[in-house]
Amino acid sequence: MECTGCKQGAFYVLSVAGRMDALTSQGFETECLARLDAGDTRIVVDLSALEYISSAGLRSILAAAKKLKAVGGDLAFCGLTGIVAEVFTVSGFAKLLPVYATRVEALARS
Amino acid sequence: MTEHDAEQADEQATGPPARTAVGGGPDSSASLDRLRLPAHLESLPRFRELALAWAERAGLGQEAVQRLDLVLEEMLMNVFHHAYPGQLGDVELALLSSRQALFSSRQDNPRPEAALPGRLSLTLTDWGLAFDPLAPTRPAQAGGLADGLTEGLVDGLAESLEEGQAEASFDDLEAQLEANLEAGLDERELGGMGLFLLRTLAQAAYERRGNANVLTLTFGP
Repeated sequence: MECTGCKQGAFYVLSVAGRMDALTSQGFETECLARLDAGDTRIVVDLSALEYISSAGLRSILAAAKKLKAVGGDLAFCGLTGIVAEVFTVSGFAKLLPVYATRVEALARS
Repeated sequence: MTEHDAEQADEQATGPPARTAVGGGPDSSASLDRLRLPAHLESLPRFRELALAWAERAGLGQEAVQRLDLVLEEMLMNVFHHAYPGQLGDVELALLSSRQALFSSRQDNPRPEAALPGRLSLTLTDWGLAFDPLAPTRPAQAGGLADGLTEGLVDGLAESLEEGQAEASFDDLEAQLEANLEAGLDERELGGMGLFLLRTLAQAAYERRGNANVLTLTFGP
């Protein structure tokens, strides 16, 4: 798993590539918390380069989402494909968290 | 010395192998492979590597390979975390390609093998606490709470879609989730989500065989 990011207006866009599995997922929560410490509480996560996610990845996302919400921020997602989109759907995460088809749509929200 | 004796002698010479190939490898009609490793996270990459290599040889489609990848991780993690409380045991992965299954059933139901897409069966065996990951409710198991969470999430979601009340349902779902997060989203709850993914994404069968948990996962049509 590799995270890269940049500021875009009110949001911090975090692109996650590779695999979010039991071996790597903790890094996502760590990255989000680092952004939170840096003052970025509204994060858009672009998953278009993510090839795989397991329940360990979902858990890391939930933990990060909860911490961002606690400070008035949020965590939104875009670019889900293949097994990643399937896991978001069957787990109910696609309804629990804001999910957009594209990064442009995710950035256009208020 | 017969050929069979020679094989036995080879096995004795090298000791009990951690991994054995039976039947001449994946290109023969009978293809079976086994890998037995300690039940901890460090074993995950080797199990995965073996399973994906076999998935490729079996000719599984991309979607089936992705589901296999996911369900294998979930089930291995379940064993790693819950099968051997306070001690380290082993877990074994056995792989059976479609060719052998087809070969054995051919006489009963002859049909052209070439017309059938790839299929791969994975059998996970551990010798820890008895646990049926396919049992619908397991109040005595620590994972029960998480199963309630995920099943509640999806059931609620289905209802809201039917009734057109997505907004109200979202709050309900979030409340359920928050309640469970407050209760502590520990490793066992993670396992609960894994069990849900298993039931959703795989054809699976469980058997308690002596002191072993034997879970068979089949991918492909």
